[in-house]
Amino acid sequence: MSVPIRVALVDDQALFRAGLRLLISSQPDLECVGEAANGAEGFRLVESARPDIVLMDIRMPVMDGIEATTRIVNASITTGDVSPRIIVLTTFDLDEAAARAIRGGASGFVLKDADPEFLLAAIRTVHAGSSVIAAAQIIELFEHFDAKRMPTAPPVAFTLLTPRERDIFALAARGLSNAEIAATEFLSEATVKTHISRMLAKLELRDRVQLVVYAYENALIA
Amino acid sequence: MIHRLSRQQLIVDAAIAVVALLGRSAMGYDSLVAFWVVLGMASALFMRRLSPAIALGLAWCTVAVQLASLSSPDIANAAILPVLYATAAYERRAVRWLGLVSVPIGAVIATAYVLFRAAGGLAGLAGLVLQVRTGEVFQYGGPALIVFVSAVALFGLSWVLGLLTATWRTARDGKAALRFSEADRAETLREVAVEQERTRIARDMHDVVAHSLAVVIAQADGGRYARAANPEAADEAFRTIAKTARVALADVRVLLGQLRSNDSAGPQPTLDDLDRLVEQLRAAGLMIDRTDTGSAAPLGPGQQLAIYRIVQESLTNVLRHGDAAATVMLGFTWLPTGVQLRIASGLRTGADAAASPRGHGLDGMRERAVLAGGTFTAGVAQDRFVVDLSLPTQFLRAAEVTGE
Repeated sequence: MSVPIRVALVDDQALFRAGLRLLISSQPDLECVGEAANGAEGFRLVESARPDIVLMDIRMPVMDGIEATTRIVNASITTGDVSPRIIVLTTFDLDEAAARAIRGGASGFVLKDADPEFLLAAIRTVHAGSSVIAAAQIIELFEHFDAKRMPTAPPVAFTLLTPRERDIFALAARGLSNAEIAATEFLSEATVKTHISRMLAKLELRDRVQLVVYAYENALIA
Repeated sequence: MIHRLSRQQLIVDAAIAVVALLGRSAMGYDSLVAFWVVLGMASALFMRRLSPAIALGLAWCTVAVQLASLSSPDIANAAILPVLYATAAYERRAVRWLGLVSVPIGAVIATAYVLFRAAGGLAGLAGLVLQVRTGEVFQYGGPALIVFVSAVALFGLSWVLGLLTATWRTARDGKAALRFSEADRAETLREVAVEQERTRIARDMHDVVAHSLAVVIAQADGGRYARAANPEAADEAFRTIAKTARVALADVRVLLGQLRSNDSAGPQPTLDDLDRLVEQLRAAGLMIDRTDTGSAAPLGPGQQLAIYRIVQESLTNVLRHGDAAATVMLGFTWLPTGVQLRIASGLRTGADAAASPRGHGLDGMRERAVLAGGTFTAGVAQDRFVVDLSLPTQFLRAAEVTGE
């Protein structure tokens, strides 16, 4: 097994964190590198422990998960370090705070009562960056909390994409993984990966979740 | 222009006018014009409340006919007094001022006419002109002044009485509106209190159920995955699950109890229920030192409820998040202007105190205080958690006075 994925837990309930730690530590490819009880502690934990993935609760005292997410992402932009990928934990499936956290830079959200298999898969998927977890739910979230978006002219950057890239964009925006896109478009996974990174660079997007958000905000997906 | 009157008012006004007309008719008329004058004045009398403006116009027209025909003043002219009263009492600005202007003009005309008739009417007009030329007319100065002043006083008094009536009525309506809005406010306060209660229970329910279940799920999943490699961890997870579920069930029982007591639609708690609340919490192990300074003043139901709930929430917070071993000071200070309440409790040492989610409870208490017309502050002061509530009794007193 290669280097384990470093996971940090940020939640104000110690017993909840303890349960998650048991789950994560049981996996040979995952390693729990620290716990924090609020957003401010979580921010410091990210600086000191340098996790790959942060499981972030939303409602916490002192500093909530949305602000902590935004700070962690902004700090990495400022320093140029690789930002940890943040997965937001929510109690409700239609949580406005989750939508705000994703806009703030979180890579996805997972319900607190999700199956452990789903949570573990989500950690691995987000770490690999090969697909977006629960893309349909993320779009549903935005549709639920945002005013209906009118289709407007696509942004200039989008018009610079090649037809092939646009095809892949449409599939990625629906949450398809690289493998799924490769199968649909009769390409190799490596080619898809190259296309995706080039698109993200052209559109100045940080990751695939931002691609979904971008597609939604510019009314590029039905 | 035309006011809406009740059937009863119309009948009364018509009856007064008819009686006046019949009464005057019994005295007989010395000319046809005299009859028309009386009829005109009777009509004005009838119209005075229905339309003071038309009544005033009618009265003036009648006077004009009287002057033109050189008729003698009639007892019926007295109807001008209630008409003037009505213009001030029942009309809007413009007509009211027309009524006021009518007072001096009417007085001047009355004086002139009385003088004119005293001088012998048209026949004496030539003599009057001569008297004006020779200055002999000043012999009439004294009587004329008396007539003029009497007329002004009579007309003016009628008008002023009407104005007083209007002012009194406005004040009465204002009081009624104030009373109504007070009642309305109290009702809103009650509704908001009920809604807040519901929101609080829903929030508590979420805190208890959602948080506990999240822990139970996380521990169960973790225990299952850790079991192979770390059986002790699985044991610990089971213990945690059982403990979490027990605490949650106990909390749910409390919440259901509150829901049930709310459903019974019993009266909202008042200050008198405070003693029972304090006793209950003493029984739960809290040491409470209650002091009352000054003499208690009556408070409205909304304010009493606010005090009760704030005391309840604060004391429960001490049990949940504060140092339950330290004595809680519960002090009421009654002032002539209002009541001040201070609840000072011990702080729990350690990080747990800082992490306690007490923000929502404080917001709810602040809302209650503001709705009841008071102010609310809460915070740490010298190793104590201090809640300060201040409620005024003044606006309640004002409401009681207007309620009489």
